[in-house]
Amino acid sequence: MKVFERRVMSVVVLMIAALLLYFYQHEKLSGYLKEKFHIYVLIGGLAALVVAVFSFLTAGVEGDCGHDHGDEDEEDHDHGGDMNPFVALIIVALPMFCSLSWTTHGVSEARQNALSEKDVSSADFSFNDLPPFTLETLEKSTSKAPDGAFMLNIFELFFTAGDTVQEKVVNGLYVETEAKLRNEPNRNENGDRMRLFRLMMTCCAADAQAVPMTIEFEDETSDIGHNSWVRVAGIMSYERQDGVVYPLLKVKRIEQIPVPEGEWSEGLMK
Amino acid sequence: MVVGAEVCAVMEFFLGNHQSDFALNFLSLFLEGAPYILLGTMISGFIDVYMPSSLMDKLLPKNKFLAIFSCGLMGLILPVCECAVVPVIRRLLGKGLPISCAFTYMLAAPIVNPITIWSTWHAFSDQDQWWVVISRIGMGYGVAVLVGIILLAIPMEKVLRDSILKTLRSRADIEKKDKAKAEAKAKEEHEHHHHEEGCCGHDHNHDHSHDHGGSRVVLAIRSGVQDCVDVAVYFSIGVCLTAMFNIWYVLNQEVTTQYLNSVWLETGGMMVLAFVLSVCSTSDAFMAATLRGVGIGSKMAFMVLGPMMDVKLLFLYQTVMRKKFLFYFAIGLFVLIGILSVSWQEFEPFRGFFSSLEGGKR
Repeated sequence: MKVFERRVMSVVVLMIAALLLYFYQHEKLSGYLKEKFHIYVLIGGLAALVVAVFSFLTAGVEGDCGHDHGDEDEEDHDHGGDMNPFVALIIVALPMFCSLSWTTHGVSEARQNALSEKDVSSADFSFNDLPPFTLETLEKSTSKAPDGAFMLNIFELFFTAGDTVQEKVVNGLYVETEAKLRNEPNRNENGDRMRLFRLMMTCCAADAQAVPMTIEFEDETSDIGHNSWVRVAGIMSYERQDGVVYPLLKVKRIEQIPVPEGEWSEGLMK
Repeated sequence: MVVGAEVCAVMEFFLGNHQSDFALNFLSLFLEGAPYILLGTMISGFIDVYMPSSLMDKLLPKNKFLAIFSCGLMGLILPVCECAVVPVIRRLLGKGLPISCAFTYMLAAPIVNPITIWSTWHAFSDQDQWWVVISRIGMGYGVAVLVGIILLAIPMEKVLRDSILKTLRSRADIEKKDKAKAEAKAKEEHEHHHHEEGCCGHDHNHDHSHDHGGSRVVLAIRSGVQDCVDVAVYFSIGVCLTAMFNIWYVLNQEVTTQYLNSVWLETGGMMVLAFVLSVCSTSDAFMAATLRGVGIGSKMAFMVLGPMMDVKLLFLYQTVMRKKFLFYFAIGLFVLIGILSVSWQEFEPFRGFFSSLEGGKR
């Protein structure tokens, strides 16, 4: 029985190995973890596989550690763990299999809505990877749309707010960006505004936060459905309210687009 | 299979239409933590089999306080995160590491280790880098040492769970037996020596040692696997709860954040966030750094409490501690780190000094 229990424990580790290795080769791993962690998933998976197989094959070997544990001593190195191995197998396997059957590899619409509902300012974040830039460096490093709009991502635009130097560079600039569209829940007295947002992951999907930006239409808001991905071009500006600087894009053109390639938050939902 | 399907159905009921978010949270946290759990449990397996119990006595200073202070720095040599450290200290306790030292190492190692120090340094590269790194190390180390000193006054029967106490007692018996065996062997060798001198005609001077190499590796890995299974159970439960709390927090963050309008509430809120999110200590600084609108004391609370106490750790700690002690331990850490973090924020002159080291970059 003891040998069988040891083999059950090896199966638990084997299951963990299988999960890690399955996700390492899965194209959607970036939807769960930041790239810097991917290598640990591979190393952990391979190590768990080796350990599990070794442990399974040597389950019948009675080792000798060099101590005298005595015949009556049950508390040797093979202590059997705190948990019945079968119970352990169920506890570890159950959430794993439920999650595997439930996952869409992306963030649900409801969660995206909840995350993007909050009115945040760039002062709430720090974005260390954003290098300082001038109009000259922007001209050199940024592609332009056929109509001359600078193609910048929403994070770059968002984090210029509150930085007086970068605000000066970007203010009044004709820019184009891609993001998800939703209604603007705040600072929208005239009803001519909508909100763009994109999710940002720090370490793993559980810590995702939304980076939002308000867009303002000249006449009516767009009839493109909420939670659609859009490409928007317009004139960048900023507005200040209660000491907080918010980026604001005055829309010149807007079009619905498919989910951008490599977008981690969408999973298989689209 | 039928039971599994029914439990799945119960989970579906409680999760409502949030199953996919639960799955995403659970899998992302599990994938992030599992490699470290494996690392920690394998280290613990090899410690179990290869590390002699007497080594701790030899390595640690005899003075209890000096021993605690030294253990607070052990993470610099044996750098492990909070998931990996729990199985390691389970084994170190069995190897004779005093409980005060074990807990000091357990609390300090996820913070006072080169990987965490580097990640904090990198994450806060434009925000009082020196001040933040030194503050985090100092506060983490200080809290760990303080807990260690307090534990000197608490009997281990009130702290450790029965299975660990049983192991400790068993190890003590083994040590006695080993000692008796060694004495008997010495006596036998002494008698051999007399035989040789007596020229009985036989060669009694044969080798008594045995090669335990291969079988010890089997035992070490088996021990590591057992630890891995134990820890994986508590880790799975902890990650499940973290995933559920996370869903709740996101849906209610507007309500919860509107009450965080004082430094005390903000610090408390960040500690609750650290508790709920259960981010790994090797990378939590990146998350704290992005929250620039939050005070430095609150960020410090997030980065010091998180590696010491969060939802998944609450379950992992149950492999070592009694539930009653764990309750007081959690509350104590929460209050202590909260007070220290708010006070730390008031040390503006020191902060100014460190800012000046960075050329006034604030």
